[in-house]
Amino acid sequence: MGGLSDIPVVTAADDVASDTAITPAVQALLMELADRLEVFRQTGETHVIDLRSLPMPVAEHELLREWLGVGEVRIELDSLGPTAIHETAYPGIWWVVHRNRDGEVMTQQVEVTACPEIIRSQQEDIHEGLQRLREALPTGESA
Amino acid sequence: MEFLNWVRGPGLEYATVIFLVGILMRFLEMWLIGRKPDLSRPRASASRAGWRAVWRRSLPSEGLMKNSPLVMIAGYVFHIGFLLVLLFYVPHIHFFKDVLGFGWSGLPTPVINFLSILTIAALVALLIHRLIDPVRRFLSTSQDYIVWAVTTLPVVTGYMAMHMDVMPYTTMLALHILSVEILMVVFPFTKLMHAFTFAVSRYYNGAAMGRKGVQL
Amino acid sequence: MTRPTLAQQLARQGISRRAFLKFCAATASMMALPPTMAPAIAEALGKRTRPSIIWLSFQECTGCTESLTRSHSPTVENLIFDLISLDYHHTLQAAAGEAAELAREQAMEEGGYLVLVDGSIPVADGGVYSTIAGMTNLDMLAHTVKDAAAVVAIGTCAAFGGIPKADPNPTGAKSVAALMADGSIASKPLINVSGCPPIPVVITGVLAHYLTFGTVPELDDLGRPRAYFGDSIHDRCYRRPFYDAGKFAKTFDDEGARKGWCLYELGCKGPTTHNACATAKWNMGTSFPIESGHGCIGCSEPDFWDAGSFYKPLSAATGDLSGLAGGAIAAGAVAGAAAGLYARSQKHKAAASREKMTVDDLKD
Repeated sequence: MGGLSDIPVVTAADDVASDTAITPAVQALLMELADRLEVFRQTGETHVIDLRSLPMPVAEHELLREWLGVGEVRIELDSLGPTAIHETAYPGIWWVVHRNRDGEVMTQQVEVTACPEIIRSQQEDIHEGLQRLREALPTGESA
Repeated sequence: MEFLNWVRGPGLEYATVIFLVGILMRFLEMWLIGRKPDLSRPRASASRAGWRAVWRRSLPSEGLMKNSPLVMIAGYVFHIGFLLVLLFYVPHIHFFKDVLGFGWSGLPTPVINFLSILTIAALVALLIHRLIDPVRRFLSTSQDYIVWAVTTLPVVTGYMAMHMDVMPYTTMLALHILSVEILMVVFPFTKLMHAFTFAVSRYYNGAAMGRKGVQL
Repeated sequence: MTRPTLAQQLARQGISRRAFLKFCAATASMMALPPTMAPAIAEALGKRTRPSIIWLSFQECTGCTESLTRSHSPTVENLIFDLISLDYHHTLQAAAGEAAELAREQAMEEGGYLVLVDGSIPVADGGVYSTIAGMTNLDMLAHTVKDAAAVVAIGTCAAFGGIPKADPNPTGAKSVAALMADGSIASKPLINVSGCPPIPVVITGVLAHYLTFGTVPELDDLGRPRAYFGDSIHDRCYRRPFYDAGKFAKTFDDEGARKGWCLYELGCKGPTTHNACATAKWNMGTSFPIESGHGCIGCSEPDFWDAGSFYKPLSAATGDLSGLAGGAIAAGAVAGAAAGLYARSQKHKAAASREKMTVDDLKD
C-alpha cells in the first residue's frame, strides 16, 4: 500500500480558485448588493448581509471578497479580539470580519453604508471616557 | 419520521409478503382447479393462436376507437405512463436494485414529471367518464372505484413527493410509500390481478379457439 | 440577593459598549437573526440578569458537552462567565460528590432556572440502568424540572430517545418530551435541540435567544426552533442544483463524487433531515458532512438509528426484502396449493352431486 500522498486529493477551494468564473450564489449576492447600494444612494437605508446565514461553501466567501476588491479605507479594531474592516473597491460596500480573542472568526458581514456603525464612538463609551479623562487631568494642587 | 421508518421497514415487509403470497395463491388456485383434457384432434396449432391472441388484443381495436375514443386513448396513456414511471424513475430503480440485486438505467426526471402528469390526467378523465356515462356508471361496482383510487394515489403522492420545495418531503415520501403498500395489499384480491392474468386468459381463449380452427 | 444586569456586569469588567455591540452582532448571527437585529439584541440583553442553569446528563456519550465546549463566537467561556451562570454540570464543574449535589439544590432554591438535559432517561426495571448519587435519572429529572422556568433537551437522545432508544431499547429509554407527555415529570416549556451531537452554535444560539428575550423561540412540530430546523438539509444544500439536474455520484470515488454531484444515491438523508448544518457548518464554520463528500445520516431526526443503512438511498426499503420474498413465495405456494385443492374438491363434489336430467323431467 502506498502512502497518503498517493491518493489524489482535489479540494473544492482549489477548484473555485482556479476557476475564476462566477458562481450562481456569488452572482446573486453581487446583484443584491447593487440593488441595495442604489437604495442606499436614494433613501439612505443601510443593509447588512450575514455571510454565515447563507448556504454556500467558505471558498465562495473568498470568491465574493475577490470580486468586491479592496478600496481606500482599512480599519483595525481591538475590541473583544480583533476586527478587520475594509471598504471594497465599490464605495459604500464594506467588508467586516469580527474575530474573538482566539482569532477565530465570529461573524463575517458585508455592509452597505457610508460608515459601519461599529467604528463610531458609542455614547456610553464617550461618557465613561470623559470621566476617566477628567480623573486623569492634573489638578492645580499637584502642579 | 417514525411514520416514514415504519412504511420503509415493517410496513413494506407486510405488504410484500401479502402481495407475493396473494399472487401465488391466486395462480396456484386457478391452475389446480384444472380443466378436462381436450381429446379432440386439433384443427390448427393451439399455441400459435394463443400467442397471437395475447398480442392482437393488446392493440387498439377499430370499433372501440370509433365508439369511445376517450376510454381508448386515456386507457393506453395511463397504462403505459404508469409502467414507465414505475420502472424508469431513478429512485424506483434503486428500490428494485436493492431487492433484486440488479438495476437498469432510468429516464430523466423532467420526462418522469411529464409522464406523471399525463398519467394522472388520464386517470381523472377515465373516472369522470365512468361517472358521467350512464351505462358505465350502471356497470360500475364499488370495487371499480376502490381500484381506481389505489392506482391513482401512488402516482399523485409520488408526484407531490418529487416536488420537495412545495410539500414536506418526509411526510409526502411516507404517504407515497404507504399508498404503494395499500396497492400491493389490495392487488391480488381485486381486478388489479389482471396485470398478471391478462396474458394467461388471452392465451387460454386464443388457444381454445385456435384448436377448433377459428381464424383470429 | 439581586443579580446585576448584564450591562452593569460588563461595565464592571471594563468591556466597552463597542465590544458589546460586536458581541451582539455575533449573537444575532448565531441566533440566525438578521444582522439589523443587533441593536435590539444589545438593548434586550443589557437589561437581563444572568439566569441560573442546571445541566443534567443521563444516558449519553458526552458528545453533546464536547460539542458545546467547542462552540466559538461567542465561546462557551463567554457564555458561562458573561451570560449564564452554569451552576451544575457534572462533567465540567469542579465540585464532586455531595458538594456537586448541594450546588444543584442551591441553584434550585431560587426557582426560575433553566434545565438543560442531555441523554435519554431509562425507565425500565425501576430506572436502575442509570443513577447519579443514588438517584435514578427519572427521579433527578422530575425533582429538578418541578420548579424550572423551561427545559432544553440537548441532543437527539434527550429530544427523541436517540441511540439508547434504538430497537430493541433494552433500558426502556425515553425522551424528555415523552416523559412530559405521560406525566412522569412536570410539563414545562420545552425546546428540543436535536442532533448527534447538535451543532455547537445552535446550542449556544438557543441559549442566547432565551437569555436575550426570555422566551421560547418559535418551534416546529417536533419542538425544535424553526430558526435552525426550519429547512431540510436538502433545501439548503449547495449540491441541490445537481439533484435537480439529475447528476448523482454512484460511488464515493467516481467522477461524479469528485465533481461534487448529489449524494442521494449513496444514501444521503438530507431530504428528510431538518438541521442548520448547511449554513451554520461544523468545526468553526469549516464545512459540513456533504461538503466533505459524505451523505447526511439524518442525526437530528427521531429514530434515525432505525432508519436502515446510512448508505441505502431513501427510496429503498430499510429491511431485507429479497430475503423475505423467498419465505413469502414458499408460504404462497403452500397457501395456493391448499386453496387450489379445496376449490378442486368443491368442483368434484359439485359434479358428483349434479342430478342428471332424464326424459321424465321434460314430460312434466
